[in-house]
Amino acid sequence: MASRFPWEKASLIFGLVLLAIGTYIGLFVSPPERHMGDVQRIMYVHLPSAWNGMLCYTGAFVAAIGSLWTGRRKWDAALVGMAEMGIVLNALLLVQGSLWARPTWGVWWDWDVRLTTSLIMLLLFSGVLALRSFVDEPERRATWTAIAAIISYVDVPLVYFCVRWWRSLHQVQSSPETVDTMMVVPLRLNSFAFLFLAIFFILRRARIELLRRRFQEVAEPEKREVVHA
Amino acid sequence: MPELSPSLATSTVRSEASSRDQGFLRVLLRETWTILRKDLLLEWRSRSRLVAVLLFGVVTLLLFSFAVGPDTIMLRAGAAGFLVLGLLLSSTLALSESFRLEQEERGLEGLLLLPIDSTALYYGKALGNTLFLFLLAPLLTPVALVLYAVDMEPVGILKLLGLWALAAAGLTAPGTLYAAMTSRLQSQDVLLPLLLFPLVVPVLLGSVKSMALVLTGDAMGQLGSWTLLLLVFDVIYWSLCGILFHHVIEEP
Amino acid sequence: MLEGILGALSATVAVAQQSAAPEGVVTSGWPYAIAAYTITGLGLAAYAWSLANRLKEANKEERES
Repeated sequence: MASRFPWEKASLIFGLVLLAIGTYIGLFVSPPERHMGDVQRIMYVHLPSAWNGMLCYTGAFVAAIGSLWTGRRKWDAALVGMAEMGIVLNALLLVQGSLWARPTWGVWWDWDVRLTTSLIMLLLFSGVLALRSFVDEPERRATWTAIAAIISYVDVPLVYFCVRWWRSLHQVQSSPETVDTMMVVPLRLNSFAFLFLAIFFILRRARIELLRRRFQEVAEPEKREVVHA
Repeated sequence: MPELSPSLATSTVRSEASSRDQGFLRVLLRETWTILRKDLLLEWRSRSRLVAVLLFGVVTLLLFSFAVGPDTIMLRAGAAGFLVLGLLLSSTLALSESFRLEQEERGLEGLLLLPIDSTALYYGKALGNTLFLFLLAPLLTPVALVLYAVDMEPVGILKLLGLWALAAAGLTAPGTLYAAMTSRLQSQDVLLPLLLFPLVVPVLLGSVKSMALVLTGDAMGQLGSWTLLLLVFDVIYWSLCGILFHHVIEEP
Repeated sequence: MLEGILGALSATVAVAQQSAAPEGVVTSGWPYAIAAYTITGLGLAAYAWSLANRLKEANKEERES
C-alpha cells in the first residue's frame, strides 16, 4: 500500500487519551444535571456520537460527489470508510438514546425526533453499503454506491422535518441544561476524542477498501473491461 | 454536464447532433414520449400485470384489517395508513418489473444504441411507472373506504386522487432509478425495497397525514403543509434522479 | 435479563440517593449511564478489532497476489 499516514497511529492514541479523560470527568467529576440526575451523563458520549456520526455521513456525501466527478478510487474508499464509521456511531447513538429514555420516560423508545431520524439514517446508509456486496465490477460498484449515498443524504433533512411535524402535536422534549463549565469540558473532550478515533477508523477502512480493489483487479482482470453479460 | 466517460460523450454527441436543429428540451420531450408510449402500448397489450398488482393491493388491504381486527374505530383511524402502505407494497412489484423486460431481452443495451438520451429514458420510465401506480387508485381507494368503514364526502375523492398522484410520483422517482440499478443484480427483490423504503419515509408520512386529514376532517388547516412536503420531495427527487440516471445506465 | 441486572443495580443506588434527591429528579439513572459508556466502548473496540482483522486479511491477499 503506497501511502501511509504517520499520524494515523497518533490520531488513535490521542483519541483514546482524550476519551479516557473526558469519560472520567463526565462520569465522576461533572455534577449531575438538575432534573435528570446521573442519567444525563450519557450525553457525554451521546452528543459526540451524534455530531461525529453526522459529520461522517456528510463526509461520505462529499466523497460520493467526488467519486462520481472524478471516478478515482480513493474517493470510493473514503466514501466506504466514512459511511461505515457513520453507521457504527449511528448504531451506538441509538443504543445510548434508548438507555437514556428508559429511566427518564419509562420506555425504551419514544419516537424522539432525532432518534427516529437517526434510525432512518442508519437504515438508509446500511442499504447503501449493502448494495456494494451485490455488484462485482469495481467501477460500477463505485458509481452506484455514490449515487445511492447522494440520494440517501439528500433525504436526511426531508426526513428530519417530516418526522418533526409528525411529532409536533405530541410531547415536548426536554433537553438537559448545559450551563456548568464542568459539563462543557467533558463534552468537548469527548467530541474531539470521537473525532480523532473516527479519523483513525476511516483511514483504516479506506485502506482496506483500496487493498481489496487492487487485489480484485489483479485476481480478476476480466472484470476491468466491463463486458455486457 | 461534465464529461465523465467515453460512452456519455458519445451519447451526448448523438443527442446534440439531432438537437442542433430542434432545441434540447424539445428533443428530450419527444424522446421521453417515445419511451412512455412504447411502455404504455406494451402494458396495454398484456394487461395482466396491472390486474395482478391490483389484486395484490386488495389482498394487502384485507390483510391489514385481519391484522388489526374488526374494531371499526381502529380501522377507521388507520385507514389512510393502510391505504398508503398498500400503495407502497404494490409499488415494489410495479417498479421491479419496469426494467425486467429490457433486462431479459437485452433491450437495455438496444435502447442505448438508439439515439435516445438516458435522461429521456429515465423520465419516460418514471412517468410510465407513476401512471401505472396512479391506475391503482380507482380500485384501491373505494375498497379501503368500504373495508375500513370510512365516511367521507364525495369531494374528498378528488383530493385523495391528487394526493395519491403525488405519493405515486414520490415513490416512482427514486424507485425507477433503483429499479434500473437492481434489475441487473441477483437479489433485486430484496434490494429494491431495502433501498427504497427508508428513503421514501417523507412520502409515507406526508401522504398518510394528508389523506388522514381528508378522511377525517382538517380542523387545523394542516393539509397544505403536508401536501407541500410531498410536492417538495417530488420536485427534489424528480430532478436529482433525472440528473444521476445516466451514471446508472452508462458503462464506466 | 439486562433489565433485571439494571434494576438490581438501580435499586441499590436509589436507596442511597432517594433520601438526598429533591422532587422531580430522575434517580437511579446511574447504571444506565454506566451501561451506555460500556456499550459504546465495547462497540468501538469491536469495530477496531473487525478492522484489524480485515486489514490483516487484505494484506495477506496483497502479499499473495
